Amino acid sequence: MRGVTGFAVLLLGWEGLRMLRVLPPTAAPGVRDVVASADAGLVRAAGETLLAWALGLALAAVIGIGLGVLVGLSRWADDATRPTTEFLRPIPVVALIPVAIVLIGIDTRMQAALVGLACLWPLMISTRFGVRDVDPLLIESGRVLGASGLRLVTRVTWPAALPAIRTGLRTAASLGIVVAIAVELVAGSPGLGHYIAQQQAAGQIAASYAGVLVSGVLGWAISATFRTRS
Amino acid sequence: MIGLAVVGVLLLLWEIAGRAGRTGLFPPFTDALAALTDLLTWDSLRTDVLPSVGRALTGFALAVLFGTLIGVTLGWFRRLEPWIRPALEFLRAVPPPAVLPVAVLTLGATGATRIAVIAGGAVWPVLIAAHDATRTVEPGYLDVARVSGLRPAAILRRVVLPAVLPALLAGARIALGIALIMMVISEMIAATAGLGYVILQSQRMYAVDQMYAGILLLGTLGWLITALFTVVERRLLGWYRR
Amino acid sequence: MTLIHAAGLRKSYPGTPVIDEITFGQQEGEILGVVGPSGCGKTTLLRCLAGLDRPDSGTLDFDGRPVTGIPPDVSVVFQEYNRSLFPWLTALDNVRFPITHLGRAESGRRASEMLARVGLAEFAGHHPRQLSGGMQQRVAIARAVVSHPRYLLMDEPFASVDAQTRADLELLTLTIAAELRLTVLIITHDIDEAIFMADRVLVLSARPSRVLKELEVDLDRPRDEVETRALPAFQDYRREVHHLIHPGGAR
Repeated sequence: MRGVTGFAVLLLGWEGLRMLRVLPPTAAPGVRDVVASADAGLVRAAGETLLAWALGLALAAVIGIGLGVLVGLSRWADDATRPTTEFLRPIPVVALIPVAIVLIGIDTRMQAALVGLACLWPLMISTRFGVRDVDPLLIESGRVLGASGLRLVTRVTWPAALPAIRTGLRTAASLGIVVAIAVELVAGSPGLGHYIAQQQAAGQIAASYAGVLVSGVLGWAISATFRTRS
Repeated sequence: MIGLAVVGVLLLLWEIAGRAGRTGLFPPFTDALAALTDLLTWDSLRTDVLPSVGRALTGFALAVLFGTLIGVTLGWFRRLEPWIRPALEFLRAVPPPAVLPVAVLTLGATGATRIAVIAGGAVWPVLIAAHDATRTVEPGYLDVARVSGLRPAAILRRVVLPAVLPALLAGARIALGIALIMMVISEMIAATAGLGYVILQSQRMYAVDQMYAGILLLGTLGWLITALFTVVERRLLGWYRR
Repeated sequence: MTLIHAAGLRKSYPGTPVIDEITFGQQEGEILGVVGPSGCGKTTLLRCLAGLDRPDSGTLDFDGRPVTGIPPDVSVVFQEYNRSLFPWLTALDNVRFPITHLGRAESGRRASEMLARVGLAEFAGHHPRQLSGGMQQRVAIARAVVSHPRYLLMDEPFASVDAQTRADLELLTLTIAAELRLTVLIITHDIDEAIFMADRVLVLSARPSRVLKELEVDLDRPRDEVETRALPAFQDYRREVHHLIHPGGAR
């Protein structure tokens, strides 16, 4: 209830700044106009963004967690991949948008690929950390109880590493939606980013604000979902 | 050692694939490297590279500054928490790129706007981390400070700030990643200069060598900035790890 | 001369009365032990005496003046050293913390001197995490007395260290209290510790706490870990307090 009051103050502040002309009324639409401008196109755009996000995150989860387990278990694999990943990781994925356009095109597959690449790192790193950080005592106990090889990994290492993997998934999920919208904005792939840019270019300012608001709701829903699950 | 060998093999594969392919979409590594030397001329450094880096770092610094100020202040007044937290959670969840078009419209396509967008996107992880850490500062520390006769301002400076520093830096690390993303994106929208602009423009003009060169440069810069951050972090948190 | 005087102190937290009625006084230079069953509001009493919390009613005078804020001459050693020493400061800087207004040179000199007094001169540059529990509590004691307070409050100061260290710290505290002529109030759930250290013991009831008894401890000083504890009088005090806290219970 008190949280709602916080939101109300935020909205009133916005309206107040408009009224005082601190925010130019032409560029900053009223709350009522923003809500009224919501249409089917906006809903479709949200769906498209969500689809690209989900595909990318799924892709990253499969590859990132797999790689993370591998480099977590094998020192050799870790040493072999480390310099490569250390260089690739700090490249902001959005810099690869032009490359992805050239190599794949501007459709959802390209978006999913970039979202996947962005989400790969947090997933891989936290999985590696989780696997490596498993209490040696647990492994020993598993050994003593007769588990070995794959059984040891699936029965002991994996469950023990799961909390760290969940943390990685949470980071990745939030990052994924940022990248999905960035790609739509720059490349014009279908989704909220494209919707916002298009409405703004067409002078439909209220509609572009509605797009921003819906992306906020989407981002909030995603982070809320992944928080309660862990 | 083996890791560097793998890097070498991958670059070699890139080279071979680039020479074998005839599409012109995937140039050999050496061509990209040659194009990189063009980017490293004084002219291009001055108009594109350095301003980009400057905007990213300025935006990041502003984000850390304001995130800390606002987060610590809100955390200090613990009773505010239930009122403001949901609104903060929502604002943080807004993907920063979504705000870019309306920011350009409202504030104009200027360097200052880009810095504002970078700072506005990067501020949230710092702010939320500072808010959480300040709210949960060990009450024992505050008791000691009060019994030692410190005034609230001194308690903030000598106890709260050092206590929240580890969380603050963890937030700043995430903020740094967002700042770099926002730097690139902000230069791909309504821009005429900057690294992001160079990369996107190269693709539009089919100057593929130059596009890859731009990405290589961006990766190197990202790596350098991250490494620098790690050095600063180690210095500030020597007590934390030992 | 009476340094601290409390009359009719009461304190409750929402829904639970913690202190029912506590009245006591303490002479300058006196060491007062406060014992009582765990959860009986001893810590709340200490927080009121330190000015960290306000009693709901009753009067509290320090040096003849009513306590309104945190009196400048009062210092506290808290229960858990790992929650009261600042992990980002070295041992020396932790001790220097309350007296930095004296300037770098002077505060450094006094802090070093105090660290030496608690036997940690060589560990000045170490961070708390690099020190054992007993050493950390020595740092906490040095920090509490570095400003030469008149009244030292100790909240279960040795509850989380091993038995041998505990005995060392008890003696160290007595030595420092005598040297600096401190008035000390020490809260503990350990009956032996209270009798061993104090001139007088205040026995509190279970929550909401009242004073069950004030007991004069007439044992010679300086006290000795082995000899003092072996005295028949010590055993008598201990039996008396034990029966007050656990009425009818077998030993």
